[in-house]
Amino acid sequence: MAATPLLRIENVDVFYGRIQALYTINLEVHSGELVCLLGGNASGKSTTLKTILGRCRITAGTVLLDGQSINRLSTQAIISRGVAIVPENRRIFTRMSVLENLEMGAYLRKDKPSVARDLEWILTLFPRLADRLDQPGMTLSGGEQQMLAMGRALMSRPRLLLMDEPSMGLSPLLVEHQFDLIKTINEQGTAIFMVEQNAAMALSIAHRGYVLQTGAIVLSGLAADLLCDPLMQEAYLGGDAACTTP
Amino acid sequence: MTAAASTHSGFRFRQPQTIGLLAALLILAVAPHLMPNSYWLRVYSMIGIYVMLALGLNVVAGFAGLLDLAYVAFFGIGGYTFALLSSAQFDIHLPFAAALPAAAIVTMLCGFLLGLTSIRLRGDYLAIVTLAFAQIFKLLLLNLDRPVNITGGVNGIYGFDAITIFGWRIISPMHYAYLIWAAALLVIIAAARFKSSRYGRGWEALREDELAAAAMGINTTWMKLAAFAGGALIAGGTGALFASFQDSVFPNNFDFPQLVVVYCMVILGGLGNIPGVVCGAVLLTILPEFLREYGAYRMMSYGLILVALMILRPQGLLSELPFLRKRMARPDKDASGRLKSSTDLYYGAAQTPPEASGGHQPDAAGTLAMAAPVREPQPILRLEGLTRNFGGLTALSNLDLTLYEGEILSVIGPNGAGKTTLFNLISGIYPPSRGSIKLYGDDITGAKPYQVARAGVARTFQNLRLFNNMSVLDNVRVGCFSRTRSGPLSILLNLPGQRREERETEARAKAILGIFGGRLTGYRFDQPVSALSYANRRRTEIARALSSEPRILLLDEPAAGMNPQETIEITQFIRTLRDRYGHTILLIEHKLGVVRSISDRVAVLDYGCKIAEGHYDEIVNNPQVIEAYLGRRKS
Amino acid sequence: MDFILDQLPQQLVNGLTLGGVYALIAIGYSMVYGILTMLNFAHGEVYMIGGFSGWWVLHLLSRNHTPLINAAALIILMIAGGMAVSGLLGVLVERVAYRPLRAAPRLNLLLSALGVSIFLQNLVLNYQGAKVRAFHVAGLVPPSLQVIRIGPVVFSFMRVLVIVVCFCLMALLAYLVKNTRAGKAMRATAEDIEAAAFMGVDVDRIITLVFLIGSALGGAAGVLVGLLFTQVDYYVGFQAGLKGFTAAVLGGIGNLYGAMLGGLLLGLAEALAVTFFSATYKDVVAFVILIAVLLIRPQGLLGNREPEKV
Repeated sequence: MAATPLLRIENVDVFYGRIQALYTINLEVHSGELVCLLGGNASGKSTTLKTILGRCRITAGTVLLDGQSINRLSTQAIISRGVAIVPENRRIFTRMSVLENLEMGAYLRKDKPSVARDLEWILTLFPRLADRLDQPGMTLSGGEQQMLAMGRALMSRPRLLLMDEPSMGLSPLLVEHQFDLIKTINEQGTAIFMVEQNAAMALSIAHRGYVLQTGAIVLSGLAADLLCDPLMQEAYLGGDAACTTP
Repeated sequence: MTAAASTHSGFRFRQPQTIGLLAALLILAVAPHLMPNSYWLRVYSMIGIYVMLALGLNVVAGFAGLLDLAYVAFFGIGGYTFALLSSAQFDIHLPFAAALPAAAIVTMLCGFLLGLTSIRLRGDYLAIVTLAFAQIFKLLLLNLDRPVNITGGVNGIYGFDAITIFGWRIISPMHYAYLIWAAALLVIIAAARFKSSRYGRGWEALREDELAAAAMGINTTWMKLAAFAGGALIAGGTGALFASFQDSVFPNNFDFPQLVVVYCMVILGGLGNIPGVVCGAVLLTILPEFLREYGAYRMMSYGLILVALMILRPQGLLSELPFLRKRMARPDKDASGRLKSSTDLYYGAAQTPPEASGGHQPDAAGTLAMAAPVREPQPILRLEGLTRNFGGLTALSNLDLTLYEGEILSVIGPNGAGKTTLFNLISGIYPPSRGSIKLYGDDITGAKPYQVARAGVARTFQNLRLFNNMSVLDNVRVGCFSRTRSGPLSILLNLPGQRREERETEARAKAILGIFGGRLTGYRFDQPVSALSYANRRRTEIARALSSEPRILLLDEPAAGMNPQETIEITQFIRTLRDRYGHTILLIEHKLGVVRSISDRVAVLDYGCKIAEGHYDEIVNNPQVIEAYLGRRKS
Repeated sequence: MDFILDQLPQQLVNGLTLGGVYALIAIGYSMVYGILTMLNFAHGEVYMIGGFSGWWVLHLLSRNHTPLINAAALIILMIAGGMAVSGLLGVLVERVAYRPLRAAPRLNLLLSALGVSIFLQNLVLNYQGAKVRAFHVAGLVPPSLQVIRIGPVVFSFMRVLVIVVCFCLMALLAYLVKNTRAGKAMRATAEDIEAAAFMGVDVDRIITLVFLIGSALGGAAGVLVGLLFTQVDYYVGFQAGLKGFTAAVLGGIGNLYGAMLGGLLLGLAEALAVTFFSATYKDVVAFVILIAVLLIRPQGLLGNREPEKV
């Protein structure tokens, strides 16, 4: 692994107005890794992603991209440094066509030929999108919209891909397919930092994981270890649950 | 002045009010004679007119927050109606005692009609529609002199009958000065009475958060209509007075510049703030007189003032004062200077914290206890086949659930499982796509939120929907809205029934807030809720729900965002609500520790379906439930 | 009756002309509403100032009512001048009076817009007077094209000019919005500001661009109306603003094609009202349409009702 992590969050506190949302967060993502951030509702997962993108008020600590602080940068500046996000609930542009959505993903890129090549690559990754290239986003099914959102994010050729609850709103079958795709994308070289509620799925494809509870990280480690850590189930189910390792 | 004093209505506080009234009467008796010449006497009278106009607009835009740009047309309708009833135009010569009320009531009806548009329209759209109405009105004024001369067109109508009141003939400018300011004083008192009544609180709640207001039992449609009608009533009466005073009416008396001035007055003084608005009216009537030479720039300045105020000080220049006074109110202190909590008041400092034992307060127990002798638990809420679709997404699917009296039923499940949708369906925020909701056997499916609240369902919200600029006490008093019934007339005349209801409301609200120990009592009563800590805000929201005497409480993640200590306290508290006060509670909660410790039963939702129901211990070992939460393994 | 039917084609042409102008104004409202969900009250005054700017260009480049330069060039300069001044004014207004209120309650933003409208209207009143300014256009019309006859319909030169310019501008805008990078960014931002920001769009700049374009089109409309009706005064903004807004709402506010459609329909409706009723009450047509649309179908002809989220 590279010495400097791609992303490093160091002792960060975040407030919403007078309410503290994150307490002394420490985590890192290295190049090529797939790291997940787990936790129940209102644990602070989305806030963490928003903080990385410069949309939250950091009152203490630093967020470092490639070793450089991005605390004060605008969202646009951070994105232009190679960060992309697949937002919660996808947030595709429903009134724009599939192609236009993908083009928006490459909004900041100027190298037209390689953008065209990347478009082709993404269409092979998501063949269903190729069929619907000119159709408006709103005609796509939930699963297709998720693919479009991922494809759109990948169009910027990010070094770090952020994903906000990719399983949300998808049926169990689609979720599996989804996570297979995420794994493939990671294997092709993109570092992924994924926020997820579905711990089992996430940990089955990730390298490492962190667990958030009411704004603080209570567990961290290798994915395989976390999977059957009794403390994991405690954090999610308040104890008493039997471990379901096969 | 009067507004702040009357919040703690009770006879001991009458002193400042009566003194204020006497002082005002004295000033008004003397002032006209202090005017140096007839020009300034006229200005003095016009100030009175504008004070009334501003107070009327304050009802619509200030109290209720509705941007009514047709307001000046109401002024005109009053003026022209009076003109038609008291002049040679149609040869109708009603005495003033009939003409004025007639004009006012006609205007009020017009206000009511215009208000009907506000049922469907919000904010920007409402503003534009009202602006269009004002334009139509002006067009009619200018053009209805052919073929039949109704309005006199550009030349207006002039030459009205002289008026007599109780035998006194009102002819000279001095007479008018007294008459106008007597009316202004009455309007001020009426406005103050409304502000500190359930109507005032209802309007303010409506302005702050319409959805939450409806969920607290306020018929928001009616309140909007009442605001339009009330503002129009005042504007119409003022128009009639103005017409008589000027002995004429012209279309350009009731045009956009006048509207702008009145808006500036209200905004300068602070929307909803009565003393502020009065001062604003006085200021903006007098100031142009001193700046006559800059008269050409007057309208320009108003435009700039509006923009500047909105950006720099939207609450107005004068509105900070009442709250300022409240915030500085000294907390209750005991003999040694220590801060007293209300538990101390009853038990002394050595007692255990009230939450642990359920907040035993004699008053509160009496106020909150449900008449609930021990008996076979009855089903009080029945959900059958409840389904809700949003476009292609099924948020809730075929849910069957029964809630029994006196139990705490927790609804749990991962994100997006449909829990909040369930609450929204029960509280009537949107109707189900299929299925039914029955409360004590009555079908409330598809009922509007305020109807559901009145039937006895109170709720809190996941993301807190308090009325942020209202005080703690007022927030809780809003909850009593649906249990009180004083109407406009009762409030206007300050009848004994209304006074009694106010006392009872205040006592009840204070008692309920007292359940949380000293946290929300004393000086906290008058603090704006936005100044409270997060945990206190959650408590206030629960208190607000309790004050509507609900039969069922829907609590949506009451412990969200609370630290472990606070979570324990709120858990105890909810348990007390059931054990001591007999409440029935439907609870959404993610902190399963909370669920475990207080639930009688638990229902688990996943992808909109109920996948398990029963006691907590059964649920938590159910493999389906575990899978729903932790996720299914990869196959 | 015959007389009326004879009048009809002519009135339809009038309606089309007026409709084109209304459409230009309506576009300004729609674009701003689409992105910020606010009604730009001041838009009418921006239109009026555009008209005045056109007048000034004509005035400065004419002597004794005759143009000092080539007529075509002068017309172009007038329109360009109107567009430039209005566009910049719109940007300035957004920066000063609206941007600070992005997070404020809606009522505050509305009142600020109202304030700007009042300020601009009276600014012009104070520094330009209440007198109506006449556009001396006789010198601008090529003698051979003074009157153009197609079938029973008579077009004046100016009328043709207005129609042509309106449609050209609208076509240009449509192309811009559909095919350019900035246009896509505008559409994305209008739909979902945060998601657009996630794509790296500089949302503030896009908003500025929207105000620039919308206001410039309003300015063009102001100049065109000046050329067509040969006059402008400080009060025209108020009326035109209301009409333009009505057109936008009719077509579906936030929808560009809706604004164009609404403008045309409103123009036609007014022309028909003049034909069949009286000219005095033609303004009432717009108001009646406005109120009817808002009460019966608030999302307009081409708008989509968005489900309200709790």
